[in-house]
Amino acid sequence: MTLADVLATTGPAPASEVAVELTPILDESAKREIRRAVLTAIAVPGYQVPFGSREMPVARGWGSGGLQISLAVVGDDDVVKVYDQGEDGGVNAANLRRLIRRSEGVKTTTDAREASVIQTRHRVPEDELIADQILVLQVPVPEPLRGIERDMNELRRMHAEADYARMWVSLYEDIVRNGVITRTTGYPCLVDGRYVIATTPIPRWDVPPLHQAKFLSLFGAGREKRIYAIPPYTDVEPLTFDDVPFEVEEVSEPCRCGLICPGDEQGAYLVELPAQDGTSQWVCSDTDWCTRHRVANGVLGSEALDDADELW
Amino acid sequence: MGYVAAKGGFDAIQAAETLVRRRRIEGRSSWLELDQIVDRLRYSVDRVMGEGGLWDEQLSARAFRQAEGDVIEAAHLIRAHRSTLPRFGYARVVDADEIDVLRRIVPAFREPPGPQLLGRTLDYTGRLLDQTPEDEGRRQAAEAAANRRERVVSTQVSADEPTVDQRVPGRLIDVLRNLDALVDRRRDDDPEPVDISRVAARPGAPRSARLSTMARAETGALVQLWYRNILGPDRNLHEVTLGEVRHGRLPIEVQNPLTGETVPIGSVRVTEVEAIEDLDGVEEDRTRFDVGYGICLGHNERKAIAMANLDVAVDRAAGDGPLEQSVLMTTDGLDASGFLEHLKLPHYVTFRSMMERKTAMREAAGTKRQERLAQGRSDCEVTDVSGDAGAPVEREDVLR
Amino acid sequence: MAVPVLTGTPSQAAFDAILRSLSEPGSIRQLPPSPSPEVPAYAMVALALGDIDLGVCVDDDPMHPVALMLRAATGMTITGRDNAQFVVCSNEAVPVGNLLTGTALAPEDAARLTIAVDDLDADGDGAVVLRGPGVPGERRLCVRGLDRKTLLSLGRTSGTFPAGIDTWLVTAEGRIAAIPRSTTVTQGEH
Ligand SMILES: [Zn+2]
Repeated sequence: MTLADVLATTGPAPASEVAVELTPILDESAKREIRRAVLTAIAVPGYQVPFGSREMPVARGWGSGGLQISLAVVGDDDVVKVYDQGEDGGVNAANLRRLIRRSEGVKTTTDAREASVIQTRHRVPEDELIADQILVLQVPVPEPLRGIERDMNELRRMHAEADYARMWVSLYEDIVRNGVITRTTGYPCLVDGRYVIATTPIPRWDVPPLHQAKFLSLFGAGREKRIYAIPPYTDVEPLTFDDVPFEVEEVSEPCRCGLICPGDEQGAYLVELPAQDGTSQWVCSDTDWCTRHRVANGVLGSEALDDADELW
Repeated sequence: MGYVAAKGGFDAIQAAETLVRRRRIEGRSSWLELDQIVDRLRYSVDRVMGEGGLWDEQLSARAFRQAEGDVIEAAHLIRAHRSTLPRFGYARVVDADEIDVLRRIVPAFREPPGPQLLGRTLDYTGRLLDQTPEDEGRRQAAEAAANRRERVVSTQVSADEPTVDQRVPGRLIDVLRNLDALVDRRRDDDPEPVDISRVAARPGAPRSARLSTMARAETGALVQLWYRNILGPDRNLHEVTLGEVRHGRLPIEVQNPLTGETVPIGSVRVTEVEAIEDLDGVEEDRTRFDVGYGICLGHNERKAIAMANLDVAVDRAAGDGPLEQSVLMTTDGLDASGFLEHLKLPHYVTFRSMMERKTAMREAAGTKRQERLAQGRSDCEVTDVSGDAGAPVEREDVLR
Repeated sequence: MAVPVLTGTPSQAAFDAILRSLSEPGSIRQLPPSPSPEVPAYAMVALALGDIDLGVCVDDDPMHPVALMLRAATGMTITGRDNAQFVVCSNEAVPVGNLLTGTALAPEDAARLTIAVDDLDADGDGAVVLRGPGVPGERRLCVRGLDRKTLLSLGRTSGTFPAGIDTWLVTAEGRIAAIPRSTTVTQGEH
């Protein structure tokens, strides 16, 4: 093997026939390593696969894990959506979207229904995702048991032996002490009856759509160097007791688009817009979904949707 | 909200970038040359190379300038640049004995074998703020530059330049070994250094992973961890004496893939430290010492000393207690500051969920109280029940 | 002779088929065309994913031309099958026992196995039934050119979960289906 061969093997992905000049941010060998970790994660649903997380042009904690997965999985034909807190226009989402575009030359969209790969921080799209769509979740803290154990060797043992007794005890104590399970986002779930995972910090509202989903979920924790996955059609059960129903976030007020969470059949996760006087308005956190509903309700003109196409 | 905001995100980023670029490029002073940064801000450049994990003075100076003097930000630029580079192969493992020293001190002995070579150090300079007027400073710099040129022309070696014998001295550890003053914990089960940029090191990792992690760690983080073990609640360090403190050049060689020959491709400057620890543990050989090792790119003695101390401390703790995990997982500057700064990102989705649970808890407490009141029990007892939950619940105290 | 290195778009396309076949075990996907005649379709998994610090074993034969090709293209070391991250079988006669399965503490240390088969079909005589993550209820897969005993030894029975082997079955035309270690393989009722 010559040096030229090595170069060809390990060099940055060659820019294919794309008009713009690409700025690759991961070399081919790093992509292959991430791909191997992704495959192991799928084969062992819920297991946190260690990988040699590379430094990205974004800081650790700012979606570097999700970004590495997105860069490793997307191809020329993919259409990518990136959003943060449900908002496509969030500054960090805009930045990540730009990086993926410039590195891989893919198309982007804000419409979850049109996207083949969706990178997200803290939300699952309100739209029902379908087979072959890939959801890439940015994970700040991949370890669901860290609240009850800090020692990494012990954590490793607990997962290896599926020893989640202390997790159950802590949930039980929570109820005794507080009357409810006080876990908020990132609710611990049992995947395929085997591994407990942290559901990133998505709200509890977003947990049920992960159960027996048609799509593939990939979780990337760049700073902690872990990747885990929920394959399609896999059981995802929030940890709770038979007589304590799993509770999602309740709101009785409607959004400007008319949606209510969760009583409405087609509800959505709403976030609060507080006013100085203590009153609040509520709006959907999923901005694209909300806009589409407002257009459908005649609150917004259809040009609001056209604007989406101009989203670089 | 909606698309106005969607477009707003892009516009906001562009505006921020314009502001950054304007100050970086325009400034109000003359352009800062890379040579100037390498030459005059060398400690910063060395830190950027060390924490960035890449030896390239010009590139690090460029990163340091782009980061407007923020060392961690500059190290981030260097590491992200690394991620785009293909890996051609691995250098031959270099024997640290091949170091060509620029400075060497051995605090443990008055006259060790080999030189005490003070070299270029701030250690004994008076820490007085130099208030030489700027014009005078410029004049002195110009004069010094002229003298240097003369010196090069006359190829005259000044008296304080070390000779070749002095520059490749033996090391104290061998002396101590010959005096049978050391425990021997040399091992042969870690022959290939762990490449921490490709493998996620976790507790139980080989020593080479620990050393690599510390070599790239943030200097302040290592110093803090060291001090915490001296003075703070973790007491993994006992009585350390420094054996070797060296700053010098190490040759880098690779194997030619075609001929198989070893070819020198340059050298890197490193700081190397051997720290002697007084063993005092019940299970330890208290009649002997142990030695910890530290090495890092560039001239950074604080880091190498902390590293050598922590290396032996982790070994002595032997997996007992959190030190190994602290060293491996909490000393990286990019990890820690990236995560800290991510708190600035919007968190309103998660915060909404937290607010909802606060309400739910209050409602649950209200319901409980009502139930109990209906059963004719006093408020006092109710309070008692909620407070009597056995061991306190460990809160999910991780950051989201 | 040029080394059939796989990078960029073809590499991603191969990975895409490998990924989607694994996500939905037993579903049949299509690999991109082989980059050169010396790369049989069954070598594509190792070619797309192999790297300099990994080991490969083809038919237990260190001099197998496909092994030599993979070494040249990816930098992988040719090893015995008990030590290989990629194990490649060009035909059903090759035994598939004694591979790396990883452990409960490190499931990632498992081998990825590729077996060349004659044909794959969504159903048919002698189809096996797959269940587990990635399978809605159950999915049938008919494999021609792989003996039944081997087929039933894949998936969940290849190790003590989470240890085990992830397997890809590949036809000469590049049709590919996967049986990861999480999949239970049972006899169809034909
Ligand atoms: Zn709405």
